[in-house]
Amino acid sequence: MLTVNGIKKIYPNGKGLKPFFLKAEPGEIVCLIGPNGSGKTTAFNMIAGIAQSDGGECLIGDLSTSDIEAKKEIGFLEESPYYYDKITVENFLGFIWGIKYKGEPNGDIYRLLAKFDLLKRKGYKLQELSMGLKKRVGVISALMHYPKLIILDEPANGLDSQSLILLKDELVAAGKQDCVILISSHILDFLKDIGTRFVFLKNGVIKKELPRSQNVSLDETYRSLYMSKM
Amino acid sequence: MRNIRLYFSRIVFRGIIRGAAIALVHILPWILLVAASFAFAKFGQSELTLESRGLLGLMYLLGTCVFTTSKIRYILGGQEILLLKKIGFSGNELFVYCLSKVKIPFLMATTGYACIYGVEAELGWPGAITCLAMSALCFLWAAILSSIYITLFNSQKSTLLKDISIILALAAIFTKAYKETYVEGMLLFQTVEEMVRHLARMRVMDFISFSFFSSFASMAMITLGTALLFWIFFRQRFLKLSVYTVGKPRRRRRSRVRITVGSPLKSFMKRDLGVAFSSKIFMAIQVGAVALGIWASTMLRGSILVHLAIYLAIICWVLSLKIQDVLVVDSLFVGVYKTLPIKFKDFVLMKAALAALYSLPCPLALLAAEFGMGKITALSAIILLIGLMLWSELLFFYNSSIIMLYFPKVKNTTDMPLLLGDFMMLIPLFPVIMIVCGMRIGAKKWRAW
Ligand SMILES: Nc1ncnc2c1ncn2[C@@H]1O[C@H](COP(=O)(O)OP(=O)(O)OP(=O)(O)O)[C@@H](O)[C@H]1O
Ligand SMILES: [Mg+2]
Repeated sequence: MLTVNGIKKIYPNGKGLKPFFLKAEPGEIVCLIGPNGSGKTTAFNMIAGIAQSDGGECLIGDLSTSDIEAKKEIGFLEESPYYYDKITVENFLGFIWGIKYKGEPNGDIYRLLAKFDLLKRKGYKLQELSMGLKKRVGVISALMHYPKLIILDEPANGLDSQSLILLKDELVAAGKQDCVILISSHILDFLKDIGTRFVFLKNGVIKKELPRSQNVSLDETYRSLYMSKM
Repeated sequence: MRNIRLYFSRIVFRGIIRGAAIALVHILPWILLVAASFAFAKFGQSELTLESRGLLGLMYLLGTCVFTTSKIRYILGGQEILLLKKIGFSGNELFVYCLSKVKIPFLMATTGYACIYGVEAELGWPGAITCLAMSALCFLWAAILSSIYITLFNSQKSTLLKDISIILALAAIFTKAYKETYVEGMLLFQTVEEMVRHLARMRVMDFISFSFFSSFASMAMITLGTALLFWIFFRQRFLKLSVYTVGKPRRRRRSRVRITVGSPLKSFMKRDLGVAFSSKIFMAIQVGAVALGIWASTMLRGSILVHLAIYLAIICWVLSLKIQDVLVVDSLFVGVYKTLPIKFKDFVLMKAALAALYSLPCPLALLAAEFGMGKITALSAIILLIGLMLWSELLFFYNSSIIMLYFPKVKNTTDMPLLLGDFMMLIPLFPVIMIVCGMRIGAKKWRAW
């Protein structure tokens, strides 16, 4: 269970994130929606515990996410990850696995590699992969071993349609394994299929929260929240 | 456009300043070594033989060449050049830029070397100047060769060929000079001196055409032999081949390499070894170091103390050159580290193990060969072994505590501090204080980047 309790961050230029509250039960897929610069990445970085929050706290179970032990429970795909790229896909994932879960990677990595069509490229160095293929590696590193909290910041960027469909399957499967999933994307259709809750952000403030229901129209909500002045 | 030119001249200027700093870092171990040898002579214990000094000088020159060529390749293939190309810089300007980044350290290092060498050998300044001319030629040749290789082929495999062929060509040149100058009964030191004189007397065109010839010849040779082997091993084809020939299915291989007990240290070790062994320069240095160590053991005379001085100098040299490389991978990994449960303690311990791997092969080969030839007793071999390990670890902790102050900005900002650190090392107790403070600060800053 994830409890976000008033984390906030104001950058020197006055932008950032106003106090942010969120509670999510295992199995939920929470989607963060908002235009560019609305604070999604800022929120995710603090929830994942890789950026310092100006206040508040973020707990997973009863462990703070900035605690070193909590890292094992979090799978995080950064918005624009910068990886050391002279290492092979297999070694890279194996390294992350070894640090997080000790021991040699079990079948999970290979299952995901096969699923995202990377198995025959597992000996490639990251620098030899295209942008979308690199993104797939990042997605795998966040999903493997089904951590309690999965945070994906714009995973849909650069993925092809096939991987998007597979990613949806994987996320639903992860939800069934009692993971809490936070995801942000600008592709509303992608979110609509999988999300169980939709959080709309504007200028660092939560404007609206929608639960999943049959007749929810993300397009309409988006239009009324952000495009009303046009 | 004027602004860009201004920017351009500024980076060239900055390159020169930084080059000077790097150059100083590079020649410092050498200065320390010479100082140590004079100290030994003064206290009447014994002294470094002339041969060993000449030998070390040669090693030093070769090492600098390898580093320089690798650096040229790095710069020519880098993002910066791409950017400058896009803005519309001409080939000539780019070449000047590259030279400003590489030439200065090399020239400074070899000047320093040449001066020390010349003065020490009581050749006076003419001797030093021939050395200097020689090394400048070497550099020019390496630069031209590199740029030609890169513009002609510009691919992974060709750069590997280039590296190996440059080393072979250098070896060919030195062998040629050696054969032509060696006279029975001459000391190695004099031979080296004669070789350098001889090479310096060669006309520029002769020199360049000879080196081209030898490097292309060696390239052809290597294409058939070494590169193939290298490729097979490093692409892990070998493993697959053996698996296929025995007729085992793929799944089998995966289960065979599974080991279940584990700690973060093992993951680090696996990754870093993977990275290190896929680096050609690392391999070249390792192989070269072991070969030189064994070769040196047949040349050296003198007491254990002399040996110890040489061992320590080698470790000092390798570490001060390589310490940044050991930590630079981690500085590029910080994005990932932030999301992983890595403790500072584990991190540093792992790096210490890796640093030993970088700095110990040559001294260990030397030690093993000397023990094998019966020059030293088992007891002193063991004492030396332990001493070497301790020394390399101590040096690692000292250097890395300096770097930790700046982590994760490793490459650009740490040249000067490392240089200063090399001088400060001589102040009694300073290293201990530095290690304690540096590690404390590092631990505090860990994952607060
Ligand atoms: N390092 C920074 N320094 C100053 N301001 C920043 C910094 N990072 C982000 N901001 C500001 O904070 C606000 C939120 O940025 P954030 O990156 O969280 O947006 P986002 O919702 O992820 O946008 P996008 O959809 O483009 O990824 C923006 O107004 C941005 O200008
Ligand atoms: Mg963002």
